[in-house]
Amino acid sequence: MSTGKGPNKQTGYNGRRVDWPLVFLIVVTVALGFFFLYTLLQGIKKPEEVKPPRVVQLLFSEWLKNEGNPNGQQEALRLCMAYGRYETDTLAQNALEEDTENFLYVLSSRESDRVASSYAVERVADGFVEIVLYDAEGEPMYPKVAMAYTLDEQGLFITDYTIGRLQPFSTRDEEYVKVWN
Amino acid sequence: MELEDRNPGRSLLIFVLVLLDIFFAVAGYILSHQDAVSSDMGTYAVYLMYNFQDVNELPERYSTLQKYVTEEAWEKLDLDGDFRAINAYYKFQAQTSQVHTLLHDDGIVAYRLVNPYILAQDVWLFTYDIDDGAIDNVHEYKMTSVRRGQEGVW
Repeated sequence: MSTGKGPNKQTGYNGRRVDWPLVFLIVVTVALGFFFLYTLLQGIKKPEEVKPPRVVQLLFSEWLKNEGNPNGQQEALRLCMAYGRYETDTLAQNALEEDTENFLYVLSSRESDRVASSYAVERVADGFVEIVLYDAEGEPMYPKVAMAYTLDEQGLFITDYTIGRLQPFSTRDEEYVKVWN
Repeated sequence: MELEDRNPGRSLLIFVLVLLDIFFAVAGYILSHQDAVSSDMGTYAVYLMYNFQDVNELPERYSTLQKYVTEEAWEKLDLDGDFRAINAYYKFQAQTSQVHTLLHDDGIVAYRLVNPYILAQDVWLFTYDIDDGAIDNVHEYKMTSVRRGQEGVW
């Protein structure tokens, strides 16, 4: 027999019994609801919102801003690459010069009358970025450029890279036509 | 002894809550693994095309791949075209080919091919989107004009 009177762990102030199983079920439902909402919002995040690390964006933007200015381009590399890890200044300088040559080779236009002035990110993955270069008129300059990279522990500097052009090999690819015609 | 009040509303509420829990849990799990599924599909597609012991396996592999790609992607890949078949056959010289994956993420697979007639250091890329559960907007590339830093990443 239940009196329903007085203080009791199982009852509220008015003596009504708290349905703890139901309360638990409601809490679980709310939590799962938030989980579902979170994964849904993550899923509909637009691809443009996924960007490479700031140092990678900075490297390309500073490099292209200094197109035609070798000193400026070297500064872009000095700003973004982890030259501080070299034991001597000579080693760092040698690495800088080699990197300058590498980036000039890959990023220079294949057409003498066109100069890259901007870029757009096409794809991003962990340690990888694919970009399209654009000329001053906003026309894409194929082939695309891709770079795989590693960053230092703080994510502030690029410690190593492999960079190259992406040559499409399907004749049905629009880029193939633009590159080879 | 008092009989406990029957509350059909409570039973209905519990039933609804349990259904919601199952829905949220299953849907949330599926949504949270979309990228992994996408990444696996891309890797699987590359393996179907380029990982084989015998070139005679290719027709069946291509047929399997066709189930996972959109019509537009299938046409672009041109896997049932003579040009592609002949090209692949001569490129691999009927030798086994193995895919060595360098990177696989949502929408991209970077890999090397292990075959006596393909340069081991060459890097290949397969990029794609997923449209309604199928691979679409495919692009295949060979990385050229490659330059590396101190050791290079690939």
